[in-house]
Amino acid sequence: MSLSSTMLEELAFLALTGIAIGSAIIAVQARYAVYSAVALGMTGAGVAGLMALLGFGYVAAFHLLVYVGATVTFMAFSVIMLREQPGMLKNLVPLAVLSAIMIFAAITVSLSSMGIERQASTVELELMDAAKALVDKYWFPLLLAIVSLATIMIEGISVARGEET
Amino acid sequence: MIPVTWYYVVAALLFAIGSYGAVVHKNAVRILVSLELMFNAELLLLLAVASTIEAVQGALLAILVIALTSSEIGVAIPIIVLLFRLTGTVDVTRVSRLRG
Repeated sequence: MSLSSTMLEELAFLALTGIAIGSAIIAVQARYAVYSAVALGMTGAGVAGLMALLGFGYVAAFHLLVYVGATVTFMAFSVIMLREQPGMLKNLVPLAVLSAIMIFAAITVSLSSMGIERQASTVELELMDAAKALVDKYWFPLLLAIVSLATIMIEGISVARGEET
Repeated sequence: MIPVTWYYVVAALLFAIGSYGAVVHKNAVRILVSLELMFNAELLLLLAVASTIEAVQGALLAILVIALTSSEIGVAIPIIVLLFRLTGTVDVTRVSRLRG
């Protein structure tokens, strides 16, 4: 018996959701911060998979390479330099659980009630069209992103050399 | 075709878990990780909504947001490392040097 494409899509969705949500719980509840950072990377990978399932393959690849591959790895390695500190504000746990449930309900109900549905099963996204729009139409945000990334590089070098201002 | 509502539910769940973590933790790194969980949720939500309205613009916005969030972590982690060097702690309840 072969699985239909819809069934495969649903299975992939469930698996990726499991990875994303499971890793998110580990990221919040892990005993050591370094495991939290690694679990955040797993969540990022799960979210990238869900993006790809939506049809945004290029964005998913970018998320996986830049966010998970570089940023979260940087975070995980940086955390190793810090001594582990004690954990949680235990008196705030009931309030935090309540607010998390309310946030979940508010987002789900408000967005679901909008009744927006997708017209096609996957998004038609051409990389050339996106690149052209980015350079022609959205050059200013692109410039800001480039400047901010260059600033981070300079800041990273400065911090690594131990400079004081 | 998977209904877009399912993506909303996953994003809302991720955002809720992140908000829980951001409220209960004292460790600055844990708080940052929780905020990043919330960022992942809003990115998924952005693309889920974009898939119903304007895919190309949504994808471009998502790419710019990912780049800027990478910058944000690049700023936040060195600040936490410097904070640790100065005070010997990353416990946000004990850091009061910026208070007037």
